[in-house]
Amino acid sequence: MIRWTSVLVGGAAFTVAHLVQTLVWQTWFHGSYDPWFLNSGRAVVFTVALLVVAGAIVSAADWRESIVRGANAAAGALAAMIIILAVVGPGNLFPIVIAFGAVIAVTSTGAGALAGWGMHRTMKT
Amino acid sequence: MMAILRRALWLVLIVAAVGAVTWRPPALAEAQAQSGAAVRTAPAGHRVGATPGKKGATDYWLESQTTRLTAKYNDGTTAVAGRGTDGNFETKLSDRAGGDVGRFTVNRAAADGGTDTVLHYAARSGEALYAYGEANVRPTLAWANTQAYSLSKDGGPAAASGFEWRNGLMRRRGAGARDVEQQLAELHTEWSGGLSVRTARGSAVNLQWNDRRSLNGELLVSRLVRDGVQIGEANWFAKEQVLIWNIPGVTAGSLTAEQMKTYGGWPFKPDAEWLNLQTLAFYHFKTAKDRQGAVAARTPPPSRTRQVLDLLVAPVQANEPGCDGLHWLDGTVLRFCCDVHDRCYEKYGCSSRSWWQFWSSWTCDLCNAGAVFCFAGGGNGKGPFHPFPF
Repeated sequence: MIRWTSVLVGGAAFTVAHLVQTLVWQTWFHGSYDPWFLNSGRAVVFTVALLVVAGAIVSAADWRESIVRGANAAAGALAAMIIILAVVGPGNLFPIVIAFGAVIAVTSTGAGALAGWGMHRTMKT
Repeated sequence: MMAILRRALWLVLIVAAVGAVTWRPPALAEAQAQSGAAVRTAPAGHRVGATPGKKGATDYWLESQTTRLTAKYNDGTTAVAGRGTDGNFETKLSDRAGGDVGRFTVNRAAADGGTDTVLHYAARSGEALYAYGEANVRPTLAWANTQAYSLSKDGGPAAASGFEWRNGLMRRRGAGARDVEQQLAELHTEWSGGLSVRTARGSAVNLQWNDRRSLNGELLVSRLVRDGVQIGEANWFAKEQVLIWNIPGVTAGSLTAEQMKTYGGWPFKPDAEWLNLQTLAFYHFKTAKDRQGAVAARTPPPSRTRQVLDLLVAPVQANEPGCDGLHWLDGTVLRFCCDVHDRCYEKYGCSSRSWWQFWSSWTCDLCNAGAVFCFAGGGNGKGPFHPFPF
């Protein structure tokens, strides 16, 4: 059930989101603390958007496996999130932070996967 | 061939991932010291460790723990500044008889999509002044009190000549110079953990100290109180530039202008706000250090397992105000859970390690369990199992 491409796409989407946030943290995201997607509402929206797109991409590749690929993308995003959090500094609430991040990753990539599946069905009919 | 290509792709991805998370913007990278560069030594008498006149992160952290600041001025005016859970401030000004003079609010929330601070002063007459904060001014409770008092003394928002920024304060254009600090009779700082400090202005006449010198002139007397009981005192002698403190059982000592010469003298002009925070800092940091122990003396060398775990989980123990790693929730009801958790960590000397080294401290485990329980209950303080969360 492991789809490595989907895992990598999910991880890459989260890493790209983090890189962009690090670059323009003050100007785009109005960040007051360290660059981290859960430290700014705008960064949360930006990361969710990228993960939805990632979910849609992996889902569109094979619509019969949409949910499996979406779940794999979520796992990849979550793995990247945990690695980045460990590197930037976990903070004193880090398990709760990871739980929040996991909910966001699963919801976003799941929504993206559903959107990709829906698009595929619409185009087919 | 495909196997080699696949392995190469994996290696590139791993290197890219590690590089990505450790990468810093060029401007920051240039600030890093270049290897081989000569070490610049600071001669005695050169100011080190602080930018003169600028407050440091520690000072702002201490200030952020202040819940209420009450300033009483010589003319009988009282300013009471309070901090809201959303990080905004409000100062209420009243006259000698207790009548309302005006209200000043500092709204640090994003304004018009930006990050400006919005200032609002409403006088008793109903006139109001709205203004954006100055970029160089970082609002504190003491600043809010000083600004509110200064605006009321400048005639309130009705000034026809308009306002201008002068020495970090909004002043009526053309208004004469005013030293608000000199008009301050008493400053009461209410801090977290049941601590408070009250500083009053006085004067010393031939006060003998250390059997060597007598102290005279303007004096700031600061009394530290915990849960209603005085536990210490600090005095600042402005003319002699001497600070003396005594918190029995915790710390006692003095600093003179002669001792400070090594560091280029006092890097700022001590005032009542600083003395209050400094007295709190003496108590807070000394008791925290005593509780946690001297690192070099008591901490055993880390085991090999611990070293490996430290590599995996960065040993960050810094505690930011609000929800660490979840600051987008700082303005929500969940902030309560984070503040309670922060205080619990501070009280028992916990760090983020206590989450996975759960065997090291049961009290820290309780702090963490409390935080999870609180989050699960949506910040209602009753946990997830209460039938009526609101």
